[in-house]
Amino acid sequence: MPSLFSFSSPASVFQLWFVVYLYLAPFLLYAAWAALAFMDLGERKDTLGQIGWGCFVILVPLVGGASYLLSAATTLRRLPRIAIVVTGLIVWLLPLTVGVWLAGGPLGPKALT
Amino acid sequence: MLQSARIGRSTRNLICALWLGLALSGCGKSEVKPTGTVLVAMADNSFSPAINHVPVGGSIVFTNEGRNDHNAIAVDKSFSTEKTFGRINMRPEDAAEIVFNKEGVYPFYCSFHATPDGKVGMVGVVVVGNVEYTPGGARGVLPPVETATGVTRRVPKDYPTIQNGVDAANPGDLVLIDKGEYVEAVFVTTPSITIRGVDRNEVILDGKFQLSTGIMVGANGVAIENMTARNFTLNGFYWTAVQGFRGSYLTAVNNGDYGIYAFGSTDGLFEHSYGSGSPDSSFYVGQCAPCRVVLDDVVGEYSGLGYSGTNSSGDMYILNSRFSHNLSGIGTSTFDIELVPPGRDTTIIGNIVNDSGFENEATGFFASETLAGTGIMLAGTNTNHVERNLVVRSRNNGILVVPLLDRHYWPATGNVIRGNTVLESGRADLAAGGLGTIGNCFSGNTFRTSLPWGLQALNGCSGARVPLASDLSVDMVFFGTLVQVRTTEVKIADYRDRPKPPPQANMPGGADAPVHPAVHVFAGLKLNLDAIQTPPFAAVQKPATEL
Repeated sequence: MPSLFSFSSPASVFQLWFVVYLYLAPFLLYAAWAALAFMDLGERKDTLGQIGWGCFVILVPLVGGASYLLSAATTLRRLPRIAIVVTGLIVWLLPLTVGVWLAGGPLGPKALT
Repeated sequence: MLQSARIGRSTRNLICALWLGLALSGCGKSEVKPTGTVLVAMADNSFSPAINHVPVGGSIVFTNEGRNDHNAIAVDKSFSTEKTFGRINMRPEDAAEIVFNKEGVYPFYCSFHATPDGKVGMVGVVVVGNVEYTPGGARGVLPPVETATGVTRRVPKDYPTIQNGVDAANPGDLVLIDKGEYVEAVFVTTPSITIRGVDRNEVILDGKFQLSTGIMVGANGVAIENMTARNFTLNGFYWTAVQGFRGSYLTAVNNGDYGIYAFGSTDGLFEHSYGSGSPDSSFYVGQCAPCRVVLDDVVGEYSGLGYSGTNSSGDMYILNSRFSHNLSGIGTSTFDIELVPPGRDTTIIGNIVNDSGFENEATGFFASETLAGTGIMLAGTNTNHVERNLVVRSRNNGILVVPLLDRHYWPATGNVIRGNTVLESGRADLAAGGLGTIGNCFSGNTFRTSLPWGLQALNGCSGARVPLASDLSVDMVFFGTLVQVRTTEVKIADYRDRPKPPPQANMPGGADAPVHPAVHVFAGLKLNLDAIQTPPFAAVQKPATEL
């Protein structure tokens, strides 16, 4: 069985770049933000809020976890919560933007090298 | 008389908005005045539309929507996009407006992809004002015929060149070419003629890497048989915007774009033919719906793709053929730069596709390099049938189903991949990638690996299917390869020195074979798809030319 993370031949660092930042990073951020959100949810006293936010965090990947951490978390201090979300977005989106920029645009003429 | 203006992207957006505004403002009105501006797209490599009518004082906006550099230059030099930009080439996304203040007919051409007489290659015409214009040859438009006249025009015995022979022929005639090397680019405007070589291997059109296309056909019902075209900078044999065509026992070697090529053409057949050493593809059928085109018993080698079909849809068949040692074997695709997207309804049965994407074998170009190493690729196309093919030794994926992102996002859906033997692929024998890749089914294939895992088990052609049937890592490595191609120097084998094929089989009957104009071609074929078997594995051990 081929690995999900196997590369096309010839392999290149650019393939690793896209697999990590476009494919794996969202899963990791989803898991990290959801885990932190549930840590905080566990400390809440209102059951309705726990269930509602819990569903939102799970069913709306990334957005749910980030929204909860930025707006509704109570036990974590504000600065670390913002830092976790913003740093995560930067780590994900900056390399992604550079990668998409590099991938975009015309491939150039059919000149031979 | 003629003025030109450079148009930036924002200006073009404004033009589009204006067009939209004009279109909306015209709704409900009984009379709409012509705006006088026509948009002409420069695709790779044709103008669309090629024939344009504008009023006196009207204008043409040329936009380079291809991936190659282009230009538009009047044959009489009365206008040129070079004057707009101060350089000969218009780069992708460039646009230029030419204003026409004087009545007349203005043929034009792209100096990179056509001959300066405006007859062969990427050419077009602007008809300004109320001038009569009839496309066709010097004799105007001749009516096609369904039966042969029995007249044979011999080259060089009766006519010194092939062009002289086809110009003199009437519909239904046979132009018979004797053994020899002919250094000419032929343009056919007479319908229903048959152009035949007396010996496939010894009747050779040679472009000497100076001429663009061996034979370009712009008339309906033309058959070309039993000859070779080699060393042209663009295409070996090319039918454009015709109804009814046939290429039989043709060999196209080391041509700079396509080997055997039909564009915007319907009702045709390529059979018993060989193509190799073309950076884009050995065989290409594009922009047709419904195509009603069959490729049967052809061989494509050492090219970017063995067969390529962009926006070719409906009654499109690739049967009993072999595609070896190409960057990728068979590719169907959808692109916005050609008309009638998306591509759909291509049937691929009984073919051998082997040794795709291995280093220093095939020529190609940058775009084909990004998906190199695929046996059969369905890129942004729908409801195709891929059945009973033998796909062996693909550098990356054996059979790949992926969406394609051009100006629009084209998902790949509703494809049937059934009964194929797919082995020895470098990454996965069966693979599906991308968002929206749903509704495809895999059944009865012999394979060892798939991406995602369980692709066939969970997405059979009968019963319930799992909705998540694609793996995004396929796309990620594609994007990575795209960046690799764009940012680093890619070594691509030169089409001019790809391997020469051994002598190819001559047409039965040779010069004396019956003459059949290429009319009602598809209707005359008796396709029995059920009788086609999966080629045996041992077949890939033999050279393609021995099959």
